[in-house]
Amino acid sequence: MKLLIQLHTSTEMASYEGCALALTLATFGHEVQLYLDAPVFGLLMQPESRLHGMIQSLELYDMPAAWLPDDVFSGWLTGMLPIDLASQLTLVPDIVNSQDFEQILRF
Amino acid sequence: MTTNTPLLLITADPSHPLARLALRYAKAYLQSAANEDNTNINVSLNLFFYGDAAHIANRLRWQSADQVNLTKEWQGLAEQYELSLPVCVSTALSRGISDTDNSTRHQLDADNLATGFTLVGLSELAIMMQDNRYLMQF
Repeated sequence: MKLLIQLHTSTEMASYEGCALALTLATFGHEVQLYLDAPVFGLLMQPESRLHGMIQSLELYDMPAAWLPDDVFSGWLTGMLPIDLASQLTLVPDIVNSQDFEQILRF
Repeated sequence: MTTNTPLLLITADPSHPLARLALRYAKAYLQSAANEDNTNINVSLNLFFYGDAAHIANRLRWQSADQVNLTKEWQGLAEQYELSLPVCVSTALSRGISDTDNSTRHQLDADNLATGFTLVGLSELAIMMQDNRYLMQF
């Protein structure tokens, strides 16, 4: 199943649970694309947060780089993050066809 | 190809309108399927409680009498249609909801998982989704 999982909630638990679901589904062969919205940026910047560690390991799960909103704030964020984490992030494409995904989940 | 039986991924807190909507959807789907089938034998619906929806499985969650008791409603539906009520074990434990086995394993004082609900690993959801079921999040 091809899924887009959007993380919008700024709590550590919600972002962890959304990302944990993404990694688990990827392990079982599902195609999962993560989208990290601005409210979770604060967690991404905390090295001790579980979200920080999980995004660092996306490549190990054969997952594509997580999408960020295409705005100035995202550019600032990637400049502030360690290279190994920033390399797992990319700006959301200009055109995203939601029909490409069988389901879009939101946490 | 998508199989006919939907899979409801319930993630909303019981106080969220989506939590009630999930129950309404399940009731309507099961009633409709039962009417077509004329029995309850072949009627099924796949459910998975994740995140804040794990609170629904807490038998000690008190609420005033004028509110819908989602825990009892799901238990009744599960009994009527022989449904499973799987709850992600890690999201349940992190919200203070545990069964006897996990309470023993994690040295917790007591258990409070409501009857009919079961704690399962997240892999159960991934396996349910292998069949390309029609997935809906509430």
